[in-house]
Amino acid sequence: MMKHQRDRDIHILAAALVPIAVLGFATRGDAQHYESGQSPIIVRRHQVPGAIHDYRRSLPEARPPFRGFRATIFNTLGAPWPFDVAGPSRDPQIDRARQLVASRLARDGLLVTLAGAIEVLGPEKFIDSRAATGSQATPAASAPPQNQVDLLKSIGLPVDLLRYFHVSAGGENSPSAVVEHIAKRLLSGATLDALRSELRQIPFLFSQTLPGFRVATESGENEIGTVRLQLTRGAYWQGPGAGGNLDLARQLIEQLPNADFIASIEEKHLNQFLQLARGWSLLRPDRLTLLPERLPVAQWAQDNGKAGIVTSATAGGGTDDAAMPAGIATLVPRYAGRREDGSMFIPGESFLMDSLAATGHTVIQSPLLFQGGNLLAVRDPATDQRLLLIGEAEIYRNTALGLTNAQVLEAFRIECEVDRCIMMPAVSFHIDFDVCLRSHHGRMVAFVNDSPSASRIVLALGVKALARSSLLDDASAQELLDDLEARRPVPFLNRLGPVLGRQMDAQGRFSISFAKVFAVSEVDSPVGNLQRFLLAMDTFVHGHIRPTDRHAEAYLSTFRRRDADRRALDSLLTNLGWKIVGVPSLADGDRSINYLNGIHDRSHYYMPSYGGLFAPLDEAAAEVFQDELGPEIAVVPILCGESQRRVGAIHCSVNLYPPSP
Amino acid sequence: MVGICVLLFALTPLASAQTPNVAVQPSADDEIDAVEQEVLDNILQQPVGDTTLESLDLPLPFLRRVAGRIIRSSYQHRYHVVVEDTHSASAGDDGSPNSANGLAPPGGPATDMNREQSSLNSSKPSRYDEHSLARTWLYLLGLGIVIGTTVGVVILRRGRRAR
Repeated sequence: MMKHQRDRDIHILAAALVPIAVLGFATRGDAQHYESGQSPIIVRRHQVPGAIHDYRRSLPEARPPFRGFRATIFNTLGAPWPFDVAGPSRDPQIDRARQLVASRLARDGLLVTLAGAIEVLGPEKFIDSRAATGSQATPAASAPPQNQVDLLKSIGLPVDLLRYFHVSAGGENSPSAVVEHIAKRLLSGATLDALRSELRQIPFLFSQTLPGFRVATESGENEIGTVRLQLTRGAYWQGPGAGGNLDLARQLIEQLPNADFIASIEEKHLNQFLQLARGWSLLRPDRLTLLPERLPVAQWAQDNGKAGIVTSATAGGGTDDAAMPAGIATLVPRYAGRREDGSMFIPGESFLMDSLAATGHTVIQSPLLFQGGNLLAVRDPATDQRLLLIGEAEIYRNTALGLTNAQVLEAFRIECEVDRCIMMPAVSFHIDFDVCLRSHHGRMVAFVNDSPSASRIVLALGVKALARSSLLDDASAQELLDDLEARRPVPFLNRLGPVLGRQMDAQGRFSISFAKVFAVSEVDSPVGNLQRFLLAMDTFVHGHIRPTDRHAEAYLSTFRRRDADRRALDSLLTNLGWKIVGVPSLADGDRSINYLNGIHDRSHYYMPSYGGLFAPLDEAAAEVFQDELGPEIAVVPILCGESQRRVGAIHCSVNLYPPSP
Repeated sequence: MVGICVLLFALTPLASAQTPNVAVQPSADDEIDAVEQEVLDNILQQPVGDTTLESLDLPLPFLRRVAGRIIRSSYQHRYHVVVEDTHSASAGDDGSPNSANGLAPPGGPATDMNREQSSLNSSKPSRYDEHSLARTWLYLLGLGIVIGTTVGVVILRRGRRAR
């Protein structure tokens, strides 16, 4: 209770101080060389005034109760957007209006909900008094005062989206104009029901937040000039080769010698990281810029921003992705978040963009909600169109703001400057775990998960590991391998079940000493590998057994439904005229061994690899890519096993920008 | 009670895992079963301020895909469990129970889908022999005896207090 009260006080204080303070800190970026002379690492500290920092710290990781919430990374709106109700208001009408917005915005849409809220609050409040009394007023002057729009903002409406609804051709285009239009209609006697169809006719004309921005395509057209990373630690998790966050960063720095790197890192890890990075091959001065942050930083740089460029060509309407960029830029969401069932705000992931902007990097905050890993921009060489594939969750984040599906697709099309948006089913959470697209020899190639193949390889490797440890005799191991080869899941399960059963304790748990059978090096993960082996068994047998237990049946039926979703995804990609190529790859949350979550440049595919026991699976996947892409494209494995055990890989961990001119 | 259940499991012959599986036709997977329905309900009942996630009006096909991920994750975290040889649960340096060594280091997972696990409350010990009808019935029989005994003891005690 005390904490709540304190947090509310901080919110109120910050509301007053932020507008002043932001003006100050925007110019206080402070470059500090790590070492004197020509250091390969530069540390750029961005000072955040205490009041702003306290406000930011007070924001929880949670789904914002106020749907319209927007992270105030810039002071564009004058005051922070409300996150939560500060307590019961003295005005029951305001409480009713808040409740209406929270419960009806997604269902009724923004304008109908706005009309309902205005009706609850009293339409007369939203008409300028001079206009209402018939005094001479200009159209701008007759609009409701800003504090009335702020009132609507304070009940959770995303009022910033109102400006895209054009209530009159050629008329004023602002939230105030929309509010006034609806208030007048209500005052003239129109009922909400009557307004419902009328409001649906109002044109939605989204305008790009920064004209000239275009999201970078990721299908192999571009060289990599700059890589943005986020570092979560100061030291390796386990060590080089384990594929954790820092190990992944180190490998990218080694494998992309022409690229510069910029990385956010929580301040408390900075010194330890600097010690570690002394041993890295950074090649040249200022190659790695570090941006220390006071709030926690997660690994997934892809999700809190989408890389792009601002080009003179695009400003003039050009379409060449390879055009020399006037500058690189990052499009960031309304607020950075996690999860797909609603959007869980992660404060540090939004606010670290201030440090990035302070380096001179162009940061554009979109009014749209998105997680970048679920947006994949490509250029289809067959049609020369720029396409944006959008995982369905990104659509529903924005319909929750009161937009329709069509409006969301159109908004993304304009915001990212692509020719077309295509919604894709969320087969594996984010689409960058479902598909890897490469423009190749005039055709788009879509690499997709071939889980059955992957599971058989994983099982074969596990069976061999069991045999090496004498938990299986050679004859039994060969029978199991034959079952795999002949795709006989039921005999396989019947042979292997008792072997595994003997390794379980009375509660059905495996011991770590048994798990170690599945590890082949110090940085290999015994538990992670055993878990993948068990997942592979489920993948192999799921269509062939019917457990009597309802939970097991429910579990296995999810595999069957996902198979159907994958077939639907393949059909969708095939219908685009794209070539489908299956890669032995598993996409299953923290049990994944995924090879699609890589990155392209013009002559390489940097492929996630798992290493250790499953190194032969890495090789099998690399062979598929290599066979398809030919010798002119090098397939470069990047170890990221530990990252995969945390539901991410390479693409999830980076933003890629083309070279600056 | 837990001890008796464990004993029952221990007495259950591991040989039951050798019971031949019978290949079956896939079920009609567009039907929502009770477990999936429970997970869907849990998803929709998550609070968002004064309302719940139901207010986001998420389409059912999407929700079912989300529910599928939750069911898979929950099941795997419950039944694909690895413990230290002393049977203390293994954990990473951030205390997460389940990653590689196992174990998610700080930095946080990209997804957090573990809050809806309450729908998977089975305490069945084994993944790969659940098709063994005999073992299931043994389990249920044992559970029934334990519950019956517990209820009986409680009633007896209450009766004594009342006197």
